[in-house]
Amino acid sequence: MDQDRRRILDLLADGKINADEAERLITALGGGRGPDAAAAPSRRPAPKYLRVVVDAGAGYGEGPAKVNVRIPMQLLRAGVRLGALIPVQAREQVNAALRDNGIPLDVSQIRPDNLEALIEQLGDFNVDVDDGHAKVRVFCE
Amino acid sequence: MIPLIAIVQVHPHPGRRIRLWLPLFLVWLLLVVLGLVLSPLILIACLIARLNPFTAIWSLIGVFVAMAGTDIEVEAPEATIIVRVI
Repeated sequence: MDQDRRRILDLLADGKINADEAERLITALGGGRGPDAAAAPSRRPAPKYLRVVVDAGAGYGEGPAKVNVRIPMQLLRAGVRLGALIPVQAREQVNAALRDNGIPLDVSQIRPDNLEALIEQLGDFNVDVDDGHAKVRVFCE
Repeated sequence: MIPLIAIVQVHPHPGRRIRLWLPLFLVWLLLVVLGLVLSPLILIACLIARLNPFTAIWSLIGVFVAMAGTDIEVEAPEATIIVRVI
């Protein structure tokens, strides 16, 4: 393996191949980061809290106001488990109300295992709204 | 971990700041006693709603336990209110 790599470097030094070709050859030999290293996504820790920050200026309501809410993801999980206890009739009503508002979601399909996948992806979730009078930020940390 | 203390701060503008440390463990004790007293009613309600009473109670406990770490701060011209569950 080292001899092959040295030969590639010699070819590069002689100017017979360029740097891109040398890199490709070394990668093909497995001397680069390797396909596994390249394919493996960088694992970020799952977010622990959902944060909602509202900073309303003087133009809103009766005066400037700030709201800062931190909700543990654990509470979200517990809420989903509690949602499984919604009686069938009530669940159908919730589904119908969501459908009427343009959200075709079946709440019975929200299960703790589905939620884990969602929470993992929430690390990149960031909502930032600024209309000039108020700023709203929703993100996970 | 079960939340043991809730801190509530109310600061009216202008006015004196009020800071309350609420011992939630006492509330849990009261809820346990209340739950035992009301257990027949809870059981009947679960039977009517066709729910497993143990799952229902466990889910409710889960919500209370998961409240630890909740932090709410509201700052308005009239007052600032902070609620922290530890």
